[in-house]
Amino acid sequence: MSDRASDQLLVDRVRAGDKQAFDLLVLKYQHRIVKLIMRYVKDPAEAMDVSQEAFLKAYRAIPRFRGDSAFYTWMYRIAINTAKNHLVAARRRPLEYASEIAEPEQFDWHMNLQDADSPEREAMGDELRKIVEETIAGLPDDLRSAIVLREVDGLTYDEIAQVMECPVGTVRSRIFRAREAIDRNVRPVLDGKG
Amino acid sequence: MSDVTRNIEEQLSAFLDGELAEEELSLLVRRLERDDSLRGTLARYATVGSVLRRDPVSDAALRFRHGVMAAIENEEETVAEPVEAVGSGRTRVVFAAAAAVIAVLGGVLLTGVDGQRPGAGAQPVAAAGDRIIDEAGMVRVAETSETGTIDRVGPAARTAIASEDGAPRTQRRMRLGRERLTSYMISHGEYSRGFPAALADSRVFIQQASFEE
Repeated sequence: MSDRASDQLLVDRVRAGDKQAFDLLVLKYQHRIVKLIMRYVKDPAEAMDVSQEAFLKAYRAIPRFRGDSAFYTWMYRIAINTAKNHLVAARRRPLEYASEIAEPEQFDWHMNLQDADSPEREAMGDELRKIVEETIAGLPDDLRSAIVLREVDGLTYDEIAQVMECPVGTVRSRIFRAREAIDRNVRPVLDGKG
Repeated sequence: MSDVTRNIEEQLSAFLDGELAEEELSLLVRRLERDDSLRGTLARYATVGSVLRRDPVSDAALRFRHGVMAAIENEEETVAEPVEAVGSGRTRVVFAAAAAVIAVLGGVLLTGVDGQRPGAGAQPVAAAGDRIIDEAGMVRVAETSETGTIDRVGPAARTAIASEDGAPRTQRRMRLGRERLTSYMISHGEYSRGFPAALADSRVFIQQASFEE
């Protein structure tokens, strides 16, 4: 089943009154949406608030979602509009940003500033990154390749199967085994936080 | 870890990538909705992906979805309250409308329109077909629209007129008006012959007090 069909099933469940199904959609896309909004909103805490607002808008609007586009595409548009509206509102307040930028797209250079995070957030991100990178370095080549092609390059299972010249089922298994190994090491850090 | 658990966690991994087979999806979604630890595992897999992509990861990010769901719950609780208020408001409107209908019907049945005074500006107090009480105290059906001024209209009719606008206390006033009308008829109409005058006067006095409550 494709990503789109999988998401549509969850959307249908949300429409039927199943809020937990929306929780799964949030879980699946929150990182991408937060990252997207951080292209517009510099402050990470503010970006979280704007992202939350975007998801709330999506929840309210789900009865009107016709499924003409993929859920993520629709969510993406809501997120961008929410971020832009937030920026418009922010211009009414005393200037908080380094410079006036006419179009949100010009905020790209702010991405480098995202690394200027709070010490606590940096510490946690660094710790996690260290654990993940060390675990991946210790994986067999086939597992490492599968997880990187999927998570970093965004290839589908079919595409990875072509690249690695193996069946799709094998791709699925390799990606899972890589995640399983990484999860074993990050779980003590993440447990109780999410 | 049991094979069943591993199998489910492999499904989680495929679900996150949007690659889960249709026959596995519904069951897994139901499991996820019931099982917090499975959702926790899915959340960790998603976080690992963010770390690999160098997305921002923080405590706030890890608690993000709980904040979203809490906001949804809060919003739905807030929306639920006005619905109840609207319901009670609607109920009040329904009762007021019903009372108005009763008042109009009561006025039609019991109106004691006391004669008629034609003239410019006189307001009709009884339409054709209404039952009215004439000056003799007899109930009759109005053949044409009858007019009269307020001061010539008996207390029951005055009450009926006042209540045609559907005032909330119409029903009680109509009952009291009916009782007063009965007393009026007893003390002033031909029915009073069979009653001691003192008793009739007492009855009127009592009804007057009741009406003023």
